[in-house]
Amino acid sequence: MTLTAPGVFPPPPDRPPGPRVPRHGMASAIAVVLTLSVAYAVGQILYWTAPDIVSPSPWVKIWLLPEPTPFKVTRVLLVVGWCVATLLALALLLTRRRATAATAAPTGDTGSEQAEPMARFDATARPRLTLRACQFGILGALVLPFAVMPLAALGSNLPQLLLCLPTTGAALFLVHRAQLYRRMPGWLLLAGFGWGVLIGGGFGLVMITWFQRYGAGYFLDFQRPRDSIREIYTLFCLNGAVVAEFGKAAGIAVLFLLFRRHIDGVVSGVVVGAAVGLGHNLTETVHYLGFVNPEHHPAQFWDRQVVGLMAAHVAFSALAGAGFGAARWLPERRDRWVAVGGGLLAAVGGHFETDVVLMRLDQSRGEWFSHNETLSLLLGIPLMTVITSGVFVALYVLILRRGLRAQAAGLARALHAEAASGPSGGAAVTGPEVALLLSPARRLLLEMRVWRRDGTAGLRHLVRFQQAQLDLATQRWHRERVGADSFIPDEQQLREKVIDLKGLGGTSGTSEVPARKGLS
Amino acid sequence: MKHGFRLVRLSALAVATALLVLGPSAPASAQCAGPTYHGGLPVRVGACPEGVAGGASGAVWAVVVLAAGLWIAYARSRSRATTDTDLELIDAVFSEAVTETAGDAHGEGEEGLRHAWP
Repeated sequence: MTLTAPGVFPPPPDRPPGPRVPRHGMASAIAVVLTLSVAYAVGQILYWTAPDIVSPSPWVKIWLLPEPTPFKVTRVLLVVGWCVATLLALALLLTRRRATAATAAPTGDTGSEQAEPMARFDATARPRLTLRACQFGILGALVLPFAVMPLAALGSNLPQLLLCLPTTGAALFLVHRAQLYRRMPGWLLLAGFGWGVLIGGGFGLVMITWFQRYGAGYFLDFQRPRDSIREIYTLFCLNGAVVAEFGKAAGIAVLFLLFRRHIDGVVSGVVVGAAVGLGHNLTETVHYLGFVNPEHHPAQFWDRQVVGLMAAHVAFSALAGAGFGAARWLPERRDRWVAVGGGLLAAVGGHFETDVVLMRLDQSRGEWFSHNETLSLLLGIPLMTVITSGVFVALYVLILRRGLRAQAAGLARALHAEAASGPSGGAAVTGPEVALLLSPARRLLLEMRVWRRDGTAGLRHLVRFQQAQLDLATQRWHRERVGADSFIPDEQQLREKVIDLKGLGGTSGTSEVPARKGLS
Repeated sequence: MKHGFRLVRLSALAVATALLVLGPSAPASAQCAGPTYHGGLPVRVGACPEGVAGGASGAVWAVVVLAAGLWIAYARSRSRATTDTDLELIDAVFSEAVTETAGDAHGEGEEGLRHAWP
């Protein structure tokens, strides 16, 4: 109770804010998705150059199975996507060159002095829209082909998808509510989830299919079969870990680079990473369920949608997301790379360790429970999950807890300062509201009361209003940071949004944060 | 004879690896093996108590939902006074807005938040 008292968190001393750190979003996001295409191209080259499998055994045919149709479609669409992206890149360069020429050239003597700025605005606004369309078009052309394999898996296993949606949806809701204070917009969380389902899952499936097709050619050695089989087992796990985590982390990176205004620390990093991981887990579960007979689905469901739902994929990508979230406020580029690389390394390492150790432990699981299948399933699977990915679950929970504590402290300072900052500030957040905003449990109970009394519309308005207040305070807190960047939105616009939602905004005029800010 | 034995051994190894790496093309019987996250199904085979797995999954989710419901019910009953205060506070915040915008003719905005949402 005393934690939120005004005396405990005095307003920060007045110091001039440092220069904002400029960062680039879209170009880096395109570079990230280009690396997915490069990885695919490497797989293609390795396949082309793989030695033929020559063996007297007729069983070798099993390595030469025909390509799955969705994989064939992906291969074609990726080449089409590269062509479209190249054309859009050329259009982008031309538009940029024209826009530069238009802003540099004089507007002529036909207009008055007042008309000149308007003409220049028209000359730059339209190319800006075209540039944005080209940039998003390049992004889409490069990533959408990867969605073919997951769409085929989900489409051909609709009952399995419907079986898994409620559990995955509940987990996604839990992840969303783990943001106890300011929450990122729901659409951003769903975008992360969608990336995990379609792009992360698709990239993983495509790259694993490549390995299936070239791995044996390189590593299957009939002169030393036992060693070569071990190599393939190990490399298969390593390949799976690298490509799955790389595909998921690419999604986190793209969302981070495009919507940095909303991903502002380890809490939002963990949350967006977990959403991507949940999406990937959904695709993988449905893909696996498609392999096995329907009467055997309950055991797979138990493994992947109950015991392992918040472990494994969720844990690994949550750690990758924490790295991105931590990097937001690091002014030095090297430190940012260390934070992001550390998260990614933890994700890949955790995934690899989990696969290798799971296979090893599974060999002796039956003996632990005297071959009692029921105990082996009910206790053995959870025990193995704890042993393999438990430490990673503990890590992301601890990071989340620490991030929430830091948020609580920063928000307390900022809210008290906002409430005490004169009439305009006091209108956005009042003193008595501060303790309520800082107590997630009280806000949850209040939401339920309002829902019962005023229905869904009242609840939505309350949540939007309190989230706007928390956003105002969060950005105020960020503005004081040493590494404050150029993506922190304008304080007055955020304040006006709160006042509008409160119903006092009749004269404020602007209630929405401009799209440009929202993008970054 | 020796050559034949070697061929059988190699074939068995190749099939085992292919099962892991490619995944089975026919309905699998590897369901009771532990989960894998590398894109292939495990080689080890075994029958699973599917009824137990289904029952356990349902029970776990039922317990989660029940626990959440019980927590909410307990929290509501325990902190009724606090929630009342919070509701009054939020109504007061919105009443101020209603008072300013709607004026005296509309009952001074006594219902607070109810008047605020569109």
